[in-house]
Amino acid sequence: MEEKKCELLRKEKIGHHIHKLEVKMDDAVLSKDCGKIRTIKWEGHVFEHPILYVRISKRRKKYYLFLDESKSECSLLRDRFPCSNFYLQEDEEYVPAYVPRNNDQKVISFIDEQSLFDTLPVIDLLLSKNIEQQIYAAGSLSDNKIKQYLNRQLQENVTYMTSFTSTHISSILSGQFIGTSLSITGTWPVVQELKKLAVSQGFTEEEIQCKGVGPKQKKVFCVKCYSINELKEDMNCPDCHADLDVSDHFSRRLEAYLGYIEIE
Amino acid sequence: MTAQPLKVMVKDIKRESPFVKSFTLIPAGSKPLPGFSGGSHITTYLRHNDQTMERHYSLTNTPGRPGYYKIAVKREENSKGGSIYFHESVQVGDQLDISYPKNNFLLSFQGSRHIFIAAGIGITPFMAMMKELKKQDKSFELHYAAKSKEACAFYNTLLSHFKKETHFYFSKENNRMNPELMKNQPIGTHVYFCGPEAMIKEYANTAASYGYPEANIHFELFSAPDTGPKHAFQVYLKRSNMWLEVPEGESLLDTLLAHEIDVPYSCKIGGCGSCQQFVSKGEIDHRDLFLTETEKRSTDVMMTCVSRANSPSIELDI
Ligand code: FES
Repeated sequence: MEEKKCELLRKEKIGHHIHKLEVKMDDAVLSKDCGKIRTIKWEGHVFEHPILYVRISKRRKKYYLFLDESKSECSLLRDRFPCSNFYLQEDEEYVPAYVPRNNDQKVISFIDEQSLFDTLPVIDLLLSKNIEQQIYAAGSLSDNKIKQYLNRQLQENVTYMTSFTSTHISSILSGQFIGTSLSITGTWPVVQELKKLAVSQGFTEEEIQCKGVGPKQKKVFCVKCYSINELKEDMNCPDCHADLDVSDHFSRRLEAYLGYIEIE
Repeated sequence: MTAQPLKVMVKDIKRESPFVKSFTLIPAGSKPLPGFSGGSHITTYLRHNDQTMERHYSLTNTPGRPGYYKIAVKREENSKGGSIYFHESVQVGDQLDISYPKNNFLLSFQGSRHIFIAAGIGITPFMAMMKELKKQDKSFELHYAAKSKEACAFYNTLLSHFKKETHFYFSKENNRMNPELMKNQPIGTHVYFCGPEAMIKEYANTAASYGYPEANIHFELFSAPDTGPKHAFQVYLKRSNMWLEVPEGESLLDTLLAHEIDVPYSCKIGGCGSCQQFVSKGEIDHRDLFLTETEKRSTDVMMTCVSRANSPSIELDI
């Protein structure tokens, strides 16, 4: 992947370790609306460092970069970067936390402390597209500075909760209108649980985007009593006690493998 | 298509409006009629002047296994004769050949709310769908546009069975139906359209612009849309190693069938997806309403009943 030159226009510290930089690309532009930088090069130094970007003006080739300095061992990067000109190389594999649909009217995001960084460029992307957004953040965000930043960006549209409880989430989801999409990020078990709630409220595959971290819990759908439970060895449905033969048929809607009744 | 037709007898004929008549069909023999789900239709095979006319009609009675079928036929003055034949020639006691019920217009199992939008005779599939939902105590509403109360088929039936759910729009009273009725509907709402092509397109586009997922938008076409001139083109059938000429005015599907190439089809008007074939070469002039715009741009399949070639020839994987 080619190196692309950019110029720093502005920088701001928006969290204890997080910087937001406004840059203008020199010639070549970055390939996506929202993506990731794999390496930066300046004054002959090359760093592998996670930086997320979001395009804010296509015509003027302007982008915001988000950089988490706590993820770097290198003091040079911490102390002296960035200077006025540097080169970026993209990470093509990166999947953003959320990719807007064509006719999104509103996006509700569920995030946690870990996935917050991934959400930052998405917030600006949705703002630039004039799409209404609402963020629910679980767990105590220890970084007050970033909270202030979020409040500034989103005004009252960000809500902090100690954890996501199903009754509360269901009540949030049930009042939504067509045109609303969900962005669910966090650890897989939480993401899977939230997705399940969303599907039960009538959200379809097309209206839900998930991005999880860590191990994904495999679930089994019992064809007898329709409950969904965690996959175990010698699967016996905890709800109806049927012995289940777990197939490799995976339902994307239910996020579960189909478990058929075992026939002796 | 090749299954033996069902033999039925006309048990009853009822006038629903000045231009619409309902026909109740019961088995002509001792075998009961197969069951059906809401949104199903049958094809009637009418023999007239040595020709067989195929016409599709939605079943309007309560789905399940009621033992009889009901269809509603609108008299179309400029039709090719099917509806006039029904209106003028078919009598109680007559026997007809019909197909098994088919359903290209299914109710969504996932939907938590269903909005039916009908123009004119497009009301028919919804009659059965609403009866099915009512039985299951599910949430739905009907928006139905017609010229006037008098010209509105099933007016009284709707008032007596679905008063709460039905909204009428009579153009003579200057009350026009507007796609905005789909705005601000709760998540899980599915919309269903049946009527003329222009109406379906308008409603489908508006629904998409409001953010309805593709899976929540359903429609059924009644007649093939007029999509412009049907010029002649060549097809090469790769696996059969055979060249065919699709003559001007004829469909690719009919050309294939005329050459006894056994390809699937159902609606023949670009609405069901049954006649899909893979295209290995050539440019496609997509004219169906089945594939989405994205699919039309990215896939290499075509609906042979209505779509044509944009290049002098195309190659199919048959
Ligand atoms: S036969 Fe239905 S789309 Fe062609």
